[in-house]
Amino acid sequence: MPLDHFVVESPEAGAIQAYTDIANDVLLDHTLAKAVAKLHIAIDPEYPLFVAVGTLGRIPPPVRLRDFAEATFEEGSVKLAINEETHLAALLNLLWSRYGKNRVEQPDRWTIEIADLPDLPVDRDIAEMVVSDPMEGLVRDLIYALLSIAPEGFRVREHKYGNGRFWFASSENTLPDDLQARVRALFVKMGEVPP
Amino acid sequence: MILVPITYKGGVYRHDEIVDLIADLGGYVIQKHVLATEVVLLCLVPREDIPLIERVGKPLGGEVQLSPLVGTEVAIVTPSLSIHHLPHPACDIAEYVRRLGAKSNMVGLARGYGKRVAQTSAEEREIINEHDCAVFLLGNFEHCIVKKMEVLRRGIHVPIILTGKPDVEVLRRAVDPPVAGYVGNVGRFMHRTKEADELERLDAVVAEIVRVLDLRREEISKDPLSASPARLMAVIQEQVPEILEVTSPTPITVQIAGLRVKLPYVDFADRIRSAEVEEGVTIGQVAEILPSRMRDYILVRIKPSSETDIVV
Repeated sequence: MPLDHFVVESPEAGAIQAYTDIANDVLLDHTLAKAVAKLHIAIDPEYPLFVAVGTLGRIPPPVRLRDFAEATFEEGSVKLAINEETHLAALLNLLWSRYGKNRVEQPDRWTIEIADLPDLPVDRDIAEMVVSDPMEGLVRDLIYALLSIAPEGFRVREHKYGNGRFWFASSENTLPDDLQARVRALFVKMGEVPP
Repeated sequence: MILVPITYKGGVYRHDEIVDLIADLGGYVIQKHVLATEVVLLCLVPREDIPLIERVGKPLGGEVQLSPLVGTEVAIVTPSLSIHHLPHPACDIAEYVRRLGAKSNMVGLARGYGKRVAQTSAEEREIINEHDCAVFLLGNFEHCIVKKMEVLRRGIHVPIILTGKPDVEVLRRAVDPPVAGYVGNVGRFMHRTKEADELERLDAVVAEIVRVLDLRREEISKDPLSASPARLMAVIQEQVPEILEVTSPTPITVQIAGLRVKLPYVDFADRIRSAEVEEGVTIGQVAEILPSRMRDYILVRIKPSSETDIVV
C-alpha cells in the first residue's frame, strides 16, 4: 500500500503482521489507500486498547454550486442550469431549507427555479454556495474502516479529526486517562502533531 | 461390513444407476447435489465395493473420492456475525469443510466478542452441543484467546477445535485444560483465502477436524451404537414420507452418533419413535428422540448397544 508511514506496534509480535494485513485489506476495500498518507496503529491486548493515528493525503476541496451548475438571475426568479446530477439531491435539500419548498421549483431534471421576491431576495453569491463537502464522507468512511480494523469487542470509542489529521481509540474498558499523551506520542513517531 | 464415506462426482446422465448400485450394495446416499449437468453424491458405501462403483461410474464420467467428513455435522463458532469475522475467515472455513462432505453450521455468538465481556448463552451452548464437534475461530492475540476460551468452552461437551493466529505449540501451551484440537496461524483476516499458503491453512483445519472425529469414532467403536445413523436415515425416509417434501438441502443431517430430522418435533416425534427398523425394533428403542434447539427440528441420539442390548 503506498503510504508514507504505515506501522503497527503491539507487545505480541505474532499479531503485528496479522493487523498489518487487516489494515491493508480494509483500507483497500474501502478505497481509502490513496486518501491516507500516514497511519500508525498501536494495540495493547493487556489493557486492552487500540489506538490508530494518521494523516490524510490530498484533501479534496468542497463542492460549490458553480462547479456543477450555472446561475442566471432573471426578473422574479433565479434559474440554475444543472450540468451534473451527482450533487443535485444535496443542492435541493439545501435550497429547500434555505428558501422553502414553495419557492423552489424543478420543471425538469436539469433546471431549478427559485422565486426571487423583493422582500425575500435570493443570495447574489449563490454560485459560491458550498453544496457538499467530500471530507465529511471521507472521514465517515475512514472511521468506519478503523472500526473494522479494531478488534471487535472494543466498544468504548473516541475519535477526532481536524486539519487532515485523525486519531481513533477504542477499548473494552473505559479509555485510559493518559490517552491524549499516548496519541501525542504516536503522532510524534510519525513526525506530526495531533489535530 | 464397514461403511466408508465417499464423494461421487459425475454427470447427471444415468446417475440413477449409481444411486441404485449404492443401495444394492448396502450403502446409503447421505446427500445429493445436482449442479447443472453435474451430480455430487455424498455416500457411505462398503469399503470392498469402492472399485466396483469406480468401474460402473467410469463410462459415465464419474469419479470417486474418499471424504472422511461425510456423515458429520460440524459447528463453526465465531465470536459474532459482524464484519470482523464474516465473510472471512468464518465463511471460508465453513464452506471448505463442506467441500469435504461435512455439514457445517455457522454459530455466531451474540456476545462472544471481547476479552473481558465474552460469554455464551444456554441456547448457544445447547446448539453447539448438538454437533459432532465445534471449531472455535478466535483471533490474533494469545492473551485474548486464553482469557476467552475459559468462558467460551464452559458447558460445551463436544470436542473443541481451537483456531487462532498464534502457532499450534503456543495455543497448546496456553489453553488449560487442553481442548481436542488446535490449528495455528489462522486468526482473524479480512480477505478471501485463495493463495496456496492460505488454502494450506484451511487444509490444516480440515485435517484437525478429521483427526478429532476419528478419535470420536474410535471411542464410539468401543461401545458400538445400537443402529447406524445412515440406516435410521433410510428408515425415516421410508416410513415418514413427509421428509421427502422438505426443501432443505439436507432434510436429514447424518451425524456420527445421531441424526437431525428437519420436521417439526410436535407433529412427527411420535411417528419417528414408532418407526420400525426391524421386526419388533423401533427407532424409539435404539435412540432418544429429542427436540432440537435448532428451529423446531428433531434430534435423534442413538444409544450405545450396551444400554439397549440391541444391535440392528
